[in-house]
Formats: sequence, C-alpha cells, structure tokens
Amino acid sequence: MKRPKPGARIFYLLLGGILCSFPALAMDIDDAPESVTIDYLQELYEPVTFDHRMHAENYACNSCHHHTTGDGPHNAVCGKCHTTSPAVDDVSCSGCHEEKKTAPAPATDGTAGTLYHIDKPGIKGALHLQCLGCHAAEGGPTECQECHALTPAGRKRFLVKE
Amino acid sequence: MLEKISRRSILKNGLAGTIGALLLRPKAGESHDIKKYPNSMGVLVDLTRCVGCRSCEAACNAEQKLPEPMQPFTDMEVFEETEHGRQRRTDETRYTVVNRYEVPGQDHPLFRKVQCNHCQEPACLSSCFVNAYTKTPEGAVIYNADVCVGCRTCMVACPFYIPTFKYSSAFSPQIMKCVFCYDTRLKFGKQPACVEACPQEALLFGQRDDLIKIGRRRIEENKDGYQDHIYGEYEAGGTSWMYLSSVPFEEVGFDTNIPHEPILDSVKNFLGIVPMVLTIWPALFAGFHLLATRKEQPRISDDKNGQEDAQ
Ligand code: SF4
Ligand code: SF4
Repeated sequence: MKRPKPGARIFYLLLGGILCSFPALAMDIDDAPESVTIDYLQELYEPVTFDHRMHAENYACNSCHHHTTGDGPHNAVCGKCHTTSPAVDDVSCSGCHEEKKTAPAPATDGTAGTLYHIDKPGIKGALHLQCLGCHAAEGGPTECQECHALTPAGRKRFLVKE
Repeated sequence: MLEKISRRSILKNGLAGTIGALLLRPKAGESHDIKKYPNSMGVLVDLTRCVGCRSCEAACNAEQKLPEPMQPFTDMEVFEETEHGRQRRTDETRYTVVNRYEVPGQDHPLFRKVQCNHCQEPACLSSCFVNAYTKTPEGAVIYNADVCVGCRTCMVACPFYIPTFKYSSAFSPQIMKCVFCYDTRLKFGKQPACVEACPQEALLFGQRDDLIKIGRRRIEENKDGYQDHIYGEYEAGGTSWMYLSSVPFEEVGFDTNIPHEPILDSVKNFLGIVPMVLTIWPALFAGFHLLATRKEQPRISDDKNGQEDAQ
C-alpha cells in the first residue's frame, strides 16, 4: 500500500489531532483495533487480515466509517443529516451492513431513517465498494487474488488447475 | 343437389372465415398488460460498480452444471476475444458473459454482464407456437425442452440474442439460456447464483418495482455519475433485469433502438391469424380444388344450376 503524500499525512494527522481533542464526540485512534479478520467469504477464499492500524494512521476515520465514528461525514449526501452525529456504539462494518439476500423494499412511512438508507449495501458489497475504489485511486491492491487467496473450493469454482 | 350445396357452403365459409380472421385480429396495444405480475422479481445491474471479476460467470457455470470452459474464470484475456468482430455472447455452454468496453473519456474500462433479461412480455415466449416458454409469477422466463420442436423461432425473435441451440443433440432439440436459477433458487425465494457471487453488489436482486425506485434514487443522488435512464424499465415492454450506466448505453453495447412496446405485438397479431388460417385454408383450398376440377366432373345437373354455380 502506497502511503499518501507527506502533505496529506500531516493534514490527516492534524485533523486526527483536532478530532481527538473532542473525545466525547469523536473516537480515538487508540480505540481502534490493530487488525480485523474478514472471513465472510471463507468457503471460496481464505480469510483476509485487514491492517486496520495502517489505514487508521493514514486516513481519516470518516473515509470509511461515514459518520459513525463521530468525526462528521465525508460524503455530502450523509451530511444532509449527520454533520453533528456523535459516535455510535458499534462502529464495525457489520454493525450496520448485514449479509444481503434481497433488496429491501424502499420505505413508505416518510421518516428520515426510512427515507434514506434505502439502498444500503450488504456486508460483502459494502467492503468491496469501500476498498476497491480507494485502492484504485491510492495505488492499493486491486486484483482479486492480491487480497483473496482461493481455497480448494474456490479453485474448483474458478476452474483454476493446481 | 346436396353435393352442390355443400360445395357452395364451403366457399362461403372460407370467405367468411377469412374476413372474420381479419376483423378479429388483436389490436396493437391490447396485449400490453396480459402478463404483468405485480410482485415479479428482478435484478438491477449497475455498470458503475462492475469490475469485471467474472465471479458471476463462474457461479453460473457451477450452478447450472455447464461444461467447463477452456480457460479458468480467473483469465481476463477472454475480454479480448471476438467472434465475427463482435464480443462474446451467451451460448449453450455459458448462460452469462461479461464483456469489457473501453469508452473514450473514461479513465477505466467498463464492464457489462449479459444474460437473458427475462422480459415482461418475452418475444421468445410469444413467438413459440408449441408454448415451450413460460413467464413465471416470480419473473423468470423458463423453457421446457420436452415440448420444444427445435424450430429456433425464439432465437430469431429475442431482441437480445439470448436463446441458443444445443447443436450436439439434433434429435432432442434443446434451447439453452439463463433461467434466473428458477428451479434451484428463485422458486424458493432465493437470489440467483451470479447475484450471490458478485463482490461489488453490481447485481442487486429484489422486487422489480423496488429496484426501479432504488435505481432512480442512485441516479438522483449522483446525477453526474449516472445516465438518467434505467435500461429495461421500458425497453421491449420492460424487462426483469435492468441496468444503470455512467455512459450512454450504446457505448457499452446496449441496443438503444429497441422499441418500448413488446417486441412481438406485431408478430402476435400475425400469429393470432395462424390458427384461423389453419382452419380456413383447408376449406379454401378444397373450394379452389372443386372449382378447378368442376369441368372434369360428369355434368349430372341441369344448365341453370351450373350457371348459378359459376356466379
Ligand atoms: S431476453 Fe430474449 S430469451 Fe430472455 S425473455 Fe427476453 S426474449 Fe426471451
Ligand atoms: S461478479 Fe459482479 S463485479 Fe464481478 S463481473 Fe460479475 S457483475 Fe461484475
């Protein structure tokens, strides 16, 4: 993984510093796990060890956690409601993104919570959509097998001969 | 006398039948809402999300127990393959293919997954005169090889070039195409294998009506990122599989000249006459035959009757 330019690093560190000075609002980098093991796809792929610390040191929390870590949303669409939202209890991806089987019926009751979030990706989609675009822009790994080593079942599925 | 009456009535019926057939022809537009299932399922394919990983192709091959291709599904060189100058199409060994498009002005290639679109008013179904096709309430267009006579009309009728013929079995004809995993999944409310396999959620399974709302929302929230159109919402009378794209659809291999009316409205009108033609024509030809052979018949009747006959 390519590190961001020194300027950007300083900016993020400063940003992190500022955010950390409001512990009641935003989460601290030290609260974050060192690494996260992702094993939703273990039938076809070996589990992936995600270097959370490395990412947290180089990028703002809201680059990935939307608004849930309490540092204000990065995405303007989330900003419509969440500019001052505090940190939530469970900031893990799977805290919000379930394993999706079917698109949920868009809400009809008109409340904000049901008006938005009608198109929330499932956990697999959320992770890939979040990682892959950034990896392409930042020079991270983008080939499937750079992150996902195939299991024997995976090799069978993709018809990869030993 | 008796013979003459029947001869004349044959001709009369023939004429009445032909006129009747013309009058009873179904009017264009009448057939539009015949097969609309309100809760039919569908898939929304978002080209802005697809990365061309071919996981969907691999999943389909395994689910449908299709023959193994020469190259593994991890091989990305297939995107270079062309046949008669066109990109890969579905065939009897693959119900879905993903093709790559280099679109001018885009900094990365785009990918488009192709499979049966499971039309609301399937041309394959309407064109099939032995009713080998069924549109299920869940939205799948399925096929019954037992009644298929192998005439391949459906292959010509489909606006998306989907049904293909299994040539290896000339004596038990079989059309091969995507069936929306009907037997193994859809029937039980489960998403198709390709959708389940897609890492990018470029394929989203749900009720067709909900998918249209979700598609509109994606366009609305990212107007610069999407064309303001859901391909398949209206094309060919509407399809269960629909598409979103960041670039004009014709630049990623879509036929944008497909009419919004069901393809086979006109053909259906024609087909409506077929059964009548089948019943009328024997009478007509019998009449012609009788007229033509009239002179050779022994003239048992008197002159007056004969003149009447000729009128
Ligand atoms: S895409 Fe072609 S094969 Fe599929 S339902 Fe429509 S007409 Fe039939
Ligand atoms: S599995 Fe999804 S991302 Fe991969 S090629 Fe198929 S549609 Fe595209």
